[in-house]
Amino acid sequence: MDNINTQIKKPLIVRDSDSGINELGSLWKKMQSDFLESLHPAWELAKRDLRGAYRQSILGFFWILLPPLITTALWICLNQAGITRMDASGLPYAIFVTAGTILWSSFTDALNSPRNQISANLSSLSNLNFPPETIFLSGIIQVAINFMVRVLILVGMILWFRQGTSLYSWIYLPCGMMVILVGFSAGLYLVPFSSLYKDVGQIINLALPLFMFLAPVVYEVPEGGVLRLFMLANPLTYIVDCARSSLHTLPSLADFIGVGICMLLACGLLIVGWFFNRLTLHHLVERS
Amino acid sequence: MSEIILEAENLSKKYCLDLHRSLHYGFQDIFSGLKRGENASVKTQLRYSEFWALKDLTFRLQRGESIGIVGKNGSGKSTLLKILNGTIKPTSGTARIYGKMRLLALGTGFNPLLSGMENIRVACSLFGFGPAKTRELTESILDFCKLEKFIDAPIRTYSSGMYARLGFAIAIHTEPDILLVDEALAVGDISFVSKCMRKIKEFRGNGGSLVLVTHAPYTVRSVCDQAIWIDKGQVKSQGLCEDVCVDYENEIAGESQANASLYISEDLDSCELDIPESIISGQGLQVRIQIKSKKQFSGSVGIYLSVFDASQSMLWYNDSQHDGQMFDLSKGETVFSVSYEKINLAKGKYFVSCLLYNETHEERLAYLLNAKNFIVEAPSIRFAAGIIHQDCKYNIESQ
Repeated sequence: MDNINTQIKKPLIVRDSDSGINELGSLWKKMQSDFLESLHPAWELAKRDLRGAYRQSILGFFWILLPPLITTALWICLNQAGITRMDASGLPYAIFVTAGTILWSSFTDALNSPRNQISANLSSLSNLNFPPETIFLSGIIQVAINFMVRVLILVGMILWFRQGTSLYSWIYLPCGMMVILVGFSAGLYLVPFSSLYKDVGQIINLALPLFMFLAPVVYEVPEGGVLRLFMLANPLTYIVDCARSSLHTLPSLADFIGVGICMLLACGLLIVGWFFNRLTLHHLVERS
Repeated sequence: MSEIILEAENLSKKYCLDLHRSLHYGFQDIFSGLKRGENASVKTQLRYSEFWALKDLTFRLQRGESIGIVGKNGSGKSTLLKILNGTIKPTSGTARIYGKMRLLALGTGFNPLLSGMENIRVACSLFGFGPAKTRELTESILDFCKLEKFIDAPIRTYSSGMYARLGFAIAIHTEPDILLVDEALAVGDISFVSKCMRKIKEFRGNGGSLVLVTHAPYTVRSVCDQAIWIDKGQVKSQGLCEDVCVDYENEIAGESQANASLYISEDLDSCELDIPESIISGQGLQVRIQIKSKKQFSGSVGIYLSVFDASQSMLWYNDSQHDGQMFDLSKGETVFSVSYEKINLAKGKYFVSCLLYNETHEERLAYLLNAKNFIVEAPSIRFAAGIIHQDCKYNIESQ
């Protein structure tokens, strides 16, 4: 592991084969200092990637809005045609589904962010020595910006339908950030495997659209049946429900408790996943 | 007292040749890396399909000193730099670094769609500089790379030389104590390379240390104090720059002569090159071509002579046809000579190839590839940098 010895005037850096597992305490300190050091470069990298991604495009940042808009339009059409009959519990269905798909898009972006970031920056990682936290943080910043831009669609919908909002609507934003945290924490565990074997990425891309139906994204949690059990076991259910309820009323205590538990779980997952990546990243870089 | 800035002890690194097996080993290593305790056998033993890209490399570098790492492609030079830079971990061994280190890797981290200016900002932030320091450094970087109006153009429109300018300017201005350079100066034009050399000297003069990876011994001679020659991951020679370069050149010379090819057409009995074994830089050189011909050729024979350096880069060629001369070749023995008034080459070993042709290259009479080599000895005052010394006169035109 890389150690910094501040006892002498210049930093002493040691390059050896130790992954850091034998000195988790000093690794944790290093991770914290690297995290703080990463804040500015991560912001610069995020700006670089956002500018680069849309510089060669006519629609530009509109591409951020397009996926949730299309999903929303599709479900509204299906509902209006009577192909699906969705109960939107007090909200116009268009707002209900928009609020859900924005959260879902942000979750999938956050889940894919760590592996996409590593894959896009492997060349930099193999030639420049900078904290890997930089590229992970940069990914989170980009997902968070995309989420905030997408919230504009929701605001537009609310104004269009003249839907009265509750005093608690702001809760939607922290819930969105929570969804990003859950997605990102889970995504950290996929990095080593998807970097070594491309099959992992393909499987995730196949599974995600199906997984959407196990969360109350386009419909509410059913009253009974196997789907209800799956949904209740899904941490996203509580966050999505809480976020959407907040748009017209105060979310229930059960929703808040669910969100709190999810947050604790996500933070635990995040810290373990962070360690996991610090200990394993060099294996990926040398095989890039 | 001299101050050690870098010390490497028994650095070794193994890789796997087979992609799928490498991924499988990667999977294994990820989980073995998560277990506490040392597994010595994993580090010392090669698994199936693995090889040592670097084996037991030990050296020390003092502040202000520079070391050249020479070797052929795939010898382990870049692996060493990546280990020192901390981007990959050694399989075993340790490197201790007492200062800030930068790897000069061209274009890494650049986004091709963004402008040079935007990429400078990103690169500086990756090197750990805040906005105020980045603004300060940007001025010096722009002043050095002289990209002028192109600095606001997307860098995908840059030539490789412009990439090199920007990459070098960023790396050298980000205040490293040790600069790792990986063949990065090979792509720039002459004026830029000499500017880089001056900057490197200034950097060293200010106490900076340099680790230079190259396969060109003359580059090492011009900037390094000591050198290491690596071949297939193993250290073949290590010590003073000159000694190591001579060892490396001798090996290359041996291989080049082993690979020397000789073609003589049925119209000739023999064709041989005769050149002196060594010359002093700045003196003349005469290459003699001794031919025994079975038949006569009237005014239709051309001579093509080329000279290569130790890394087999061609330095120059002479084609008698281009110079407006074709020769008679009489039956029996003929000796041609090609004379150079001054050979202003840097110290080192050089190779000569010769083609004898009939009627505008349509028929090859003899082709002697890397047939002979000669050594150039140079007084130490010559060739502080570069491969050729050009004499000049200095005058004051006005004052």
